[in-house]
Amino acid sequence: MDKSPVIQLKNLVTRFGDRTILDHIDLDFYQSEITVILGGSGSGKTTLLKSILGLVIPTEGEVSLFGEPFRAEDESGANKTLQRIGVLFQNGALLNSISVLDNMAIPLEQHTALSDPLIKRMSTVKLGMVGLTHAAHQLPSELSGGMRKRAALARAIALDPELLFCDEPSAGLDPITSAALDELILTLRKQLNMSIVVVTHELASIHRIADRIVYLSKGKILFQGSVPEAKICGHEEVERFFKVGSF
Amino acid sequence: MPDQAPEIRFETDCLFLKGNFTHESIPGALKQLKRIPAKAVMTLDASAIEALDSAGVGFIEELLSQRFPQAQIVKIPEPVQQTMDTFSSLDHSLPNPERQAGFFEQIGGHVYNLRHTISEMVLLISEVVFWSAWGLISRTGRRKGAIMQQILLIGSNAVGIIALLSFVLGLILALQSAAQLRQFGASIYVADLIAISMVREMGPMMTAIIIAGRSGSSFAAEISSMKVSEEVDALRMMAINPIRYIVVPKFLAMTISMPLLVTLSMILGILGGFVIGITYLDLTPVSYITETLSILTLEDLLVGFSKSLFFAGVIVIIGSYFGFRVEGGAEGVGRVTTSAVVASIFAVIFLDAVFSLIYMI
Repeated sequence: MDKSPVIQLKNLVTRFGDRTILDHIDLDFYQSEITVILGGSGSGKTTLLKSILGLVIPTEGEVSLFGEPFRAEDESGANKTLQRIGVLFQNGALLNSISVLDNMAIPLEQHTALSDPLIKRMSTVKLGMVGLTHAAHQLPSELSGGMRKRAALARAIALDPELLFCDEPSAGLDPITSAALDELILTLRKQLNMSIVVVTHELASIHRIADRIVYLSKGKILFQGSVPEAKICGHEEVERFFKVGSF
Repeated sequence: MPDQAPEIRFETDCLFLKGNFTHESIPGALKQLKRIPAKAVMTLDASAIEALDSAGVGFIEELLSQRFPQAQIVKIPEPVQQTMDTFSSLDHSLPNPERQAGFFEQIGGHVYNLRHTISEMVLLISEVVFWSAWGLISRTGRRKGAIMQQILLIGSNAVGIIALLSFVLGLILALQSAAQLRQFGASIYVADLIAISMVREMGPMMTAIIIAGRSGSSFAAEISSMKVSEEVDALRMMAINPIRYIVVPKFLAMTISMPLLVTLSMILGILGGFVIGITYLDLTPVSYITETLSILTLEDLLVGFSKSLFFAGVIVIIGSYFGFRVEGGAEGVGRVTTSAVVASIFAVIFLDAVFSLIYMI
């Protein structure tokens, strides 16, 4: 497997006022690897994700995506990079005023010169991959939480991104839907060589998908490595996380 | 990955696909296809495809199904085949979109649904009136300070805007009519005109429109967001009547605040006319005030105040009705708020017209 870093974080610091959320983070994410970011509430997981993507501007440090420095301030440069990235937001963040199928088509319409029938075909395929073709003409507000999340994943992969970010993909889903979503994430990695960063709490999901986990605590990286390593890593908090949740 | 533009080569009856077929390169590939006679292609050779994404798969499927329906695809490399399986559209089909109602069907639907609207509205009114009256005799189930708080929100906080706008309205009315009346040497009748129009018409209506925009919208927004976040259901499960808890204090507060605000509006409007009268028209303050007082009758005041009470009720009922009718999430809240403002302003003006007719007779 090609081991070049897709995302490189150097000395990343994010502060809100005088609260330090991310405290000098150095971290690499590798090509076609599924990295799971873990940590308790308020440990800075979501902020880390947002700092990488430029939704939160880091106070210090540097983010490199695909080997080039990524700066959200430079909008045209950032947009080019963002087209190679898909993001699945915690609550789906589908546009509520248009149908599910149109939601899939937005990135394709905005960023490609493809014909309408081809866009429709591609949107249908992406919806089919998450098993939602029957809801294509409904509005996102008419879907259940799990369906909305699946639709959001379909939209995130509309442009076949090389890098996918998922913020708590299985939160609030039943175990079966959650497992199907994990299965889909694994397929994407295998078929498309996608590099995937997942923030999640679900132990079952972590066991299924994680190649590597990064454990955050109080804005610092407490541990990084594989799941079996994590269970015997010697950090009390990390070991407790895996012990409490197992059954 | 080297970026290889797609290359489509046609030999005898075979189409050779070479290079990258991704969403960036497909428009280019389509151009190359234009030169190729559709009927002649019997096979597509996929052996030289380097990269393929879902757009590429869709493209090839379109070639096979639409442009070259008689052709076969051959020599598919293993990774390409895998991608094609992943993104195959063959096992996915869309349901038919729901039929949109036609123009007359929509109108019919609205009229048919009107009976629900009316019956719900009547129920809401009866409940509000019942619980308001009940609150006067029974001391249980009252919310301490709720009415005062609502009076503060609806009444006190609106004093500034209503005072300012009424004053400006008085100025405008006086200026416009002064230009005409002065030609006949009838300047003094500006006082009559301002007094009658502010007390009977403009005062109550202006106030009602401002309050509909200010408080009617906030009622709808507050109630609908409570409903969306299940707070209304929670009240119901605590055995509390939501209408009594939410709407009745607003209704009572509105009934108290509205006549007071209207009084303010009348006075400030007349003051606006007074300012124009003594500056622009050279009337003496005493003559202006005497003229104003002599023309106004108790009937005029009663007409103005009775209207304002009706307007108050209408704004509360319409705002609450739309609030309770919310559907969907945050988007629904915005929608019902807009509808509530539009409907209550419409109702206020319409009612005003009806009142004008009644008082004429």
